[in-house]
Parts: sequence; structure tokens; C-alpha cells
Amino acid sequence: MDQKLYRGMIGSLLYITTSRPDILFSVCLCERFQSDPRESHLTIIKRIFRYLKGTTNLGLLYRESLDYKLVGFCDVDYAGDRIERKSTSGNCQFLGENLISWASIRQATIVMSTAEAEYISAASCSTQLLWMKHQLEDYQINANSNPIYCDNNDVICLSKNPILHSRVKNFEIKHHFIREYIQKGILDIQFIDPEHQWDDIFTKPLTLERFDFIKKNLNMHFVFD
Amino acid sequence: MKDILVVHIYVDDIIFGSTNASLCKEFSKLMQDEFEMSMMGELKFFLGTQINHCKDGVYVIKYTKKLLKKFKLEDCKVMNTPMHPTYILRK
Repeated sequence: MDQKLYRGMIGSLLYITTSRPDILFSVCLCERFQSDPRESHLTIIKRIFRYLKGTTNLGLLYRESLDYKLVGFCDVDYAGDRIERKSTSGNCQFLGENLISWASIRQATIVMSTAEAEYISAASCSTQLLWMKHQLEDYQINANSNPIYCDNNDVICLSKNPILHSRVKNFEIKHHFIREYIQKGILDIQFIDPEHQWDDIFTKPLTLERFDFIKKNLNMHFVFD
Repeated sequence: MKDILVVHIYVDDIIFGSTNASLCKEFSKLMQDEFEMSMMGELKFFLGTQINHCKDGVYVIKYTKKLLKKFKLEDCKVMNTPMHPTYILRK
């Protein structure tokens, strides 16, 4: 098995992901096997190239607008990683209706509940959102109560009610910072039904129908010359 | 809100955009007077990224054809999704 080839492929694909959110999850998944790749992993990565071949003219659309509202989405695939049983967070941020940032991250800790996994994902989504908010402030654009869409009601209740429940004692303190920002009114966490949770694309492999539906909603369209 | 002009410089490549077109013109004139530079006009390529202008807005496209050539996969069969929905990767 040619390790150099595998790593070369990963490197090239990672570069492509800077404007192709659709392949981010698959590339990140393959990336984890870089230290000891097998033939089976090479087959998987070749499939990504086969997908790219059919979508060479897929572009990310940025519409002209004066809408400076920041919107975040956060989702998680609980224990999605089969080897270490860690969860996968998916985040994306929109400025107005344009997608400007996306991430697929395997969480650093193994968690005991979906609520905890979602809570960690919401926290990492808000750090990114806050950073963008500060960037916008440099251009004298002030935005408050930036919505974060989450499909887990436990997380929404936990973040709005700053009481330390006995059930959440195991949550790492650093993830609780989100409460402070919600109280200050800088962030606003809201419920979204799983159907409209675009972060599915960053947390798990999807069926063709769902994959194309989300791609369309992330403003990815085919460009014809 | 006031108009803004955003300038992005990478080594010897420079792109800029503004909410007000006259600011762009003013800036390009200022730069041309001060430095020796060629104005390429509307942004089409930047650091390997293709930018397509159309009536809806701007499309950002990455060149993937070169990549397929690099790994000799130009003749592969096309797939609809990058990963099978039920496949599990193991060590």
C-alpha cells in the first residue's frame, strides 16, 4: 500500500474543501487513517475523486446583499466514530444568506449523552460566530442576538437556564461559556427541525436525495459557461 | 451604514471590493499612481480559485480536473455522492 499516494490525495482534497463543503466530511474521515492506510481506505478515497469528476463545475454562490446577519448551525453525530466512539460536530455559519464558514470536527472527548455532544458542538459553533462578530465590528457592523440553530431541545434549555443541574455536572466548564453570551443577548439559540439542519452534511454520509437537498441550501449550484 | 472597501493582499496578488463602485475606482487609481501594476479588471482567478460572475452573484469554483489528472483518475466512473451512506470505515 502506497502511503505517500494516500497522503498526497488527502492533501490535495483538503485544499479543495476550502470551497467545497460537500466533500468535507468524507475527506476528514479518510484523513484519520493517514498513519496506517489500507487498501480499503484507498477505495473510499477514490470514490471521492469519482464524485469530484461528476461535479467539476459545482460552485459556491455568493449573492450580492447588504444583509449582515450572522447565523450559525450546529449539529452532531453521536458516537459516529466507530473506533474510539467519539462524536462528530458539524458547524456552519452564514452571513446573510451566504455560506462563509464550515467545519466538521471529531470531538476531543468521549461523551455519555447526545445532549452533551450537542452542547459541545453548540459551544464550538458559538466561538466561531463570536470571532466573526468581532471581525465585523472592525468594519463598524454590529450584530446582536445572532441566532444559532440547534435541533436538540435539551441544549436550548440548558443554555438559557444558568443553573447547575446535577445531571450536567460531568459537562466540562469550558462548554458552559455559551450561557453567558446568551444572557448578554449576543447569541440566541433557537430550535430547528432536523429536516432543515444543513449540518447533516458535515457529520455523516448521506443518501443522494438528502445530499443534493442540503447542497442546494448551502448555495452550491452547477455553473454552466 | 458607511461604505466599506476591503483590500486583500497575498504576496504580489491583490484583490479589492467595495459596497460603492466609486471607492474601487479611486483606490485603483491611487495604487496605479504609486506603484507599477497591471490592472486585470474584474476578478476571474485568484490563487487557483475560479470566480464566475453571473446575474445572481458570484460563483466560487475550485479546479478539480487538474487533480484528477495528477492521480491518473481522469477515466474513472462517476459517482453521485462522495461516500456510501452505510459504509463504516475501520482500521
